[in-house]
Amino acid sequence: MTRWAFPLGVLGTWIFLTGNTALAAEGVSGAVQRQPLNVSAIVMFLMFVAGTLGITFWAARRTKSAADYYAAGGGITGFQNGLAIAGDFMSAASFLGIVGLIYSAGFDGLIYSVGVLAGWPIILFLIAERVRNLGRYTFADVVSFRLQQTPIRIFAACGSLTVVAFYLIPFRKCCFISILSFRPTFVLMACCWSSSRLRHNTTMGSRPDVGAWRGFANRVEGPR
Amino acid sequence: VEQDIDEKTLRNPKFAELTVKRSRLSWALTVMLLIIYYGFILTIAFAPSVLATPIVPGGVIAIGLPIGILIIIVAFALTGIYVWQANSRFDVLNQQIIEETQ
Repeated sequence: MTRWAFPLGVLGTWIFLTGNTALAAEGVSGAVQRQPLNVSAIVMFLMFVAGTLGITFWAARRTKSAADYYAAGGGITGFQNGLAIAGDFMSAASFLGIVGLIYSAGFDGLIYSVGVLAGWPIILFLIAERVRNLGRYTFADVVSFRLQQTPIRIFAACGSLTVVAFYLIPFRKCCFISILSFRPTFVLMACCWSSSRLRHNTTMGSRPDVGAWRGFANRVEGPR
Repeated sequence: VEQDIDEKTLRNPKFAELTVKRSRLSWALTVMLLIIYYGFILTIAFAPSVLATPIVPGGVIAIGLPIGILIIIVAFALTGIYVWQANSRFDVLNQQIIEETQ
């Protein structure tokens, strides 16, 4: 199973990205003028990448256990954790997806942000408490607590991949639009972001954010 | 010993109260949110002209925009209700059960 995960992932990403450019190529017709190299945008992009990698490296050295990884060892407050989740979602939905949708569809793109806001409280109402009570971090961990590990994890991974496929549609749209509007840096950012999200979600087997919700409800206590 | 604690917890009337109240609140909030959200989406699907009505006659802003923002605010409010109830009621009950069981 795991042996095939990486090549399949590469293949999927390849289809995903080439499908994307093919779509974009159709949209561009007529004379195309090459834009001047936007040095400041590229420098800013590299600065962000370097900064993020630096923070990741620093955090990884402090991370020793699963508790450290998911909830910063229980050492952060609910408000801080809420800010982290908000940051995650703002980068994802607001800056990439909604911008792209509103660019292409006008204020109808607002529908997408409503969907996000309607979905997350339901995770809180129905799942977060259970995850917290068991002291687990991902949905797959919770279900495999009671059920047989291997099949239920495969099942959860399939569920995650299905969700991720739909989840990536707005970002594909965003890539597509940014290719159309000739913003190479933005294309690169969008591609990096969506592929990192894909990798993130598949390796975790489920949304690790679900665990982070425990913090949002001001309940960071660490596992019992 | 663990079995003993489980038995004791299950027999505690406060535990039954906690689970019933908590799931009732969770499901009530979930159903409320789903009705609001799917009401919005179904209106978009089957009666988009309703949401396209301008706020002021002849204006440019459609009624759908403030409705969408209102749904976002309602989602925040429902989250707030859950957090408030969980912190004020359920955690208190939970703590009482833990103390009585030990």
